[in-house]
Amino acid sequence: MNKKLNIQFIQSFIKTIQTKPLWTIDKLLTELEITEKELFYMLTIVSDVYTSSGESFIDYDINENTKEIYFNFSENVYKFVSINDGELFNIYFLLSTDTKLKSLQAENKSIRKFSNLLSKYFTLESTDHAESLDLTFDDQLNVIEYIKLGSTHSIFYKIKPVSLKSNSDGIILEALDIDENVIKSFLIDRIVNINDDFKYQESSKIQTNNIKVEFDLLDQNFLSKLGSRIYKSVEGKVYMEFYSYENALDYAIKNLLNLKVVSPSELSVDIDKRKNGLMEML
Amino acid sequence: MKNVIKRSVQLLNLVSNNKKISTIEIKDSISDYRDLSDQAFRRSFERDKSLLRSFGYLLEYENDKWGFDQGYSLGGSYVFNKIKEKENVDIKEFISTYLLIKKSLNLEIEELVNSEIISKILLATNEKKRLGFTYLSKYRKVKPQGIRFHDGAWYLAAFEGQVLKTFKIEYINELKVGNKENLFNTTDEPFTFSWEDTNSFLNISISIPNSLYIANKSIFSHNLMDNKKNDEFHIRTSDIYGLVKFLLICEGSFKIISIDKPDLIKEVLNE
Repeated sequence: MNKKLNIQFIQSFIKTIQTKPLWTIDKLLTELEITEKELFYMLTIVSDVYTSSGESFIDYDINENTKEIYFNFSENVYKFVSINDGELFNIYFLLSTDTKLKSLQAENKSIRKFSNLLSKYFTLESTDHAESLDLTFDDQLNVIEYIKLGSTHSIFYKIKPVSLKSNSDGIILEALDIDENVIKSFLIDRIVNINDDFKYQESSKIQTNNIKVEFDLLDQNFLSKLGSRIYKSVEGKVYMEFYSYENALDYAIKNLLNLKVVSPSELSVDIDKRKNGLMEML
Repeated sequence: MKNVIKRSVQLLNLVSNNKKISTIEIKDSISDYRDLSDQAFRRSFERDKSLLRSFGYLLEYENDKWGFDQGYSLGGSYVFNKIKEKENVDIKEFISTYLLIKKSLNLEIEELVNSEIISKILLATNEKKRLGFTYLSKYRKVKPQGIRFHDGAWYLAAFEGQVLKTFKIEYINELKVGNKENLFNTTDEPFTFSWEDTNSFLNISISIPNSLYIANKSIFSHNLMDNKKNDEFHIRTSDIYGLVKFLLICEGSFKIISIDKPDLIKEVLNE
């Protein structure tokens, strides 16, 4: 399965099919960007749901000759179809910040109407955002200049954007690293440039190694703010693992008043050197 | 996985067609729950509720002591439901436009801000209800005005008493919406950040590569006063701890041109 089959996608699937009862299979696959296998998987799920009066939630007939599906929707389907606030918020936010969507609004009256309608419900200031998130990614490949957490050097990645989401560090672009063929996360704020292909320097990538860090816990309340981060805490000590030295350094500096590095000594010496260097500059 | 998705569809189907539905009705209506013991049903139902919540569907029990009509109802679609009820729009066209916009994006958009929190803030802002939450270990009761995105983070602007404050959404916990509507007015004026009102500012001019400033500027709250020369930044801030973090991370790559209160930084470094 290529698609993330979750309740959100089922909603999207139902939102699409409920617009008309008759679909050619090919058209439906293109519209939903799924495979035939995924389509039938979803059909088995939704056709197994019944309304309180015992009626099928969604019933369907397939015509093998014409390769068409005829849907029979219960009244419940139209009540079921909904767009939650989070989804509408995402769209509204991007309509006000994404360059491509902004130009789409100028061309398309229904998108303009849609955006105006939502503006009545969302009190959102996004002026700061115009400079920090300019999502001018190409449909296919992009070369981005990225500064990793804890590092002061740019690295170039050839990527294909996959999704946008956020966590406590900020808005994250998930993208396929073309060279390594793995999905990686990039903090939007740390993408400092989207470059032409010729600037791409594969050699600038560095191999990273996991690093285990032992901290002295300076503020007991800090543990309650760690959220989903994996750690071990024993008698005033906190143990964490980071995917790179730079990542550990960034974390240690950002939590300077709550945690003090005990080991590895390379990391504690580095932080002390930075503090002394800054003191001398003042 | 298939059963979990099927049960989620069944639950949504059930609650979207009933104003309020009791726990017993839910158990009787969904085949996977029907044969479970009460305890096993509770566990399974809680798991399913939490899964739905992670996608922005808030299945909540209404426990109004004055009301007769108690049970579970579906929240999290405040805006869509209001548009359906109050706006003169063809809802099918609205959904088609939504699908068209989603399709024209190059990216799949997952969650730019926590769905549950955004939903509660929207509900409270639009219906002018009070919000209660724990913020950095302290309980707050506020009148929400809206949200703002600033340097990579989301903020709630809200009146606490008579003072307009900004709360970083990431630090908001146990958020609850009050029952009473129309308790206050909202303003269309731009929100002033709490730190913009303070007097203890530090001015610093540094020379740093532009890309490094861009990548790290969200570490601390500040105003960029001047950036006429490409790699020279004149910054005004009261977030001294944040500035120290910024300077330590960028160490070796910047020079201080001028600073008016170096002692504020020294204090943090000596802590």
